[in-house]
Amino acid sequence: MMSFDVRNFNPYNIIDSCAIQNVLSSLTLYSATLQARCGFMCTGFVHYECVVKNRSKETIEDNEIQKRFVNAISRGEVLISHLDIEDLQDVQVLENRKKLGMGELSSIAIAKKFNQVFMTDDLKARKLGIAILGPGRVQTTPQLFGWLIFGNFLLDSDKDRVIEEHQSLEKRIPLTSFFEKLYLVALEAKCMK
Amino acid sequence: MPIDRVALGNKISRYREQFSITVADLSLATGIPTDKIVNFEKGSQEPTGDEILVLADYFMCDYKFFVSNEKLTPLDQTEALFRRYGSDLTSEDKWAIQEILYFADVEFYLANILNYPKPQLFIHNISGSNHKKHGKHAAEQLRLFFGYSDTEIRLNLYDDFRKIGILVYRRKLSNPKISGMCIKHPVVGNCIIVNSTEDVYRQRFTAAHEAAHALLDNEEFVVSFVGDKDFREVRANSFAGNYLMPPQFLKKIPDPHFWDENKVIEWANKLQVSTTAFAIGLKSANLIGLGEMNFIKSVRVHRDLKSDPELPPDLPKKSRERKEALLDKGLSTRYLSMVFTAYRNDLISRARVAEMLRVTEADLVEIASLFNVGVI
Repeated sequence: MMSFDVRNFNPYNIIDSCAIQNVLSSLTLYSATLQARCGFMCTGFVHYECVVKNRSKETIEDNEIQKRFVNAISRGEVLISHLDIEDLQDVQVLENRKKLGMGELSSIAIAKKFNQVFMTDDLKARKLGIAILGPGRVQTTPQLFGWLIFGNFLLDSDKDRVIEEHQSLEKRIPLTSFFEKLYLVALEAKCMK
Repeated sequence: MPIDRVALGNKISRYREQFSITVADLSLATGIPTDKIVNFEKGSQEPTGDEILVLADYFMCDYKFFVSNEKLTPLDQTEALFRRYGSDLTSEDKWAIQEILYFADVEFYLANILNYPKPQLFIHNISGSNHKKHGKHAAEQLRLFFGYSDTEIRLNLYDDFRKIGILVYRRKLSNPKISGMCIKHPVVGNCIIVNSTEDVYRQRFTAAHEAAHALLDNEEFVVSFVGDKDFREVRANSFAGNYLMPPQFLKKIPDPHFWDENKVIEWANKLQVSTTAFAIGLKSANLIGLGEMNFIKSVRVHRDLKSDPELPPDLPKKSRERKEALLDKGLSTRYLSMVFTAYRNDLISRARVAEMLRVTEADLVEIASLFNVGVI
């Protein structure tokens, strides 16, 4: 895991499909982000990927997260931003178009355009995102979790609930070990306060 | 770079029409309102960047095709192919072809970033008017090009064709009369699709047959139907027969006038060809008569006795079934290995891997485990 200062997390993020699904997988985590006044923006493509695109296999878990995403958008908690064609013609975006998923690529393009932070939980997208946007401009859901613990938006007793809720909806690639790790990092940082 | 809205609209409407889908269907699948799609196609409104990505995802093409003047996708070829063979190709088959061409684009890209050796250039010139001889001569020339002896049998011929830049895919097509096809991709070059509903030995013959079309016919596309007998098909059959069963090898088969069922099965298996192709090969080499040919053709090699280079016999039953299902989608072991190697080397993201395989990230976890790859 790359080093991360749990005290410094940018609360405003351009979020990709896997990260928004992870954030929404735990309502405890998500409520804390709202309390902490985090702001999420996603691209029109991420919205398509998570809500519109036909899936061969739909699970109860996928449908629940999709429902939460639609509600979050309708309540204005997640904003949708649209790319222009010129953003897709950006040389760096074109060069990386076959290395990244289109959701990630569109998120990076918007983050680049508005000088914002990109949030993803895909390790390789994170590396490529850093190469394009620069260090400090790519964040993850476990880092958000660590920051929320550090800032007391989540209590110690919430840790297990977040993990439990997350695991019940994200069975394929759960972030459990990263949550555990960032929890310890946050505790350590709290002790140093 | 400013966008030519009319040219862009034209690309969108051509894609939509080649798959015979209505504006309403496209709207439902993409979430883009119908009036906007109509305006895009007329060139009176410019799509957003996100809508371009959505359309590229839906039509399985490189988005750069929509935002540049570069010919990056085989739209001209598929449009002409679907128009010509519209009644033979189901909607499912058209999408299958489109998906294979998408895989070809990905494979070409991966070969470059993984620094695979560049394809070798094989040029063959045709002379004379005997089409059977064209095929035979080209097969001999290609074998010579690879340095194979007169009697060497090529069991992994898919690799041979890939070495000379022909991309080969096996894919289930719903029309059983179509054995295969060859399409010229403007960036990638010749792509072969072999109908994987055919018998595994028959697929080898079809691959060689389609390779002949790629090498000898300067066409944008060729579709081969079972039993076709025009001169190009005769030439392609001659190439495939001679490439898979060199006459010098056939001449070394002991006692060529005596055939029983066991002997037919033994030699058809050695060559990995169907008994029909084997019988025709022996007859063409003047080693058997009509009666023997009919007998050999009548023998059937049981499915369990045939080996598939992509499916090792020691695979556990479940893994085998999963790999078979992937093969039917056109996802060969080679293709999957390339994708996962690029992923392991940090060259592509997990979401991109899922796109390259045209699966959800959930399905990806299962496929990756078949190849002992962990996705994080």
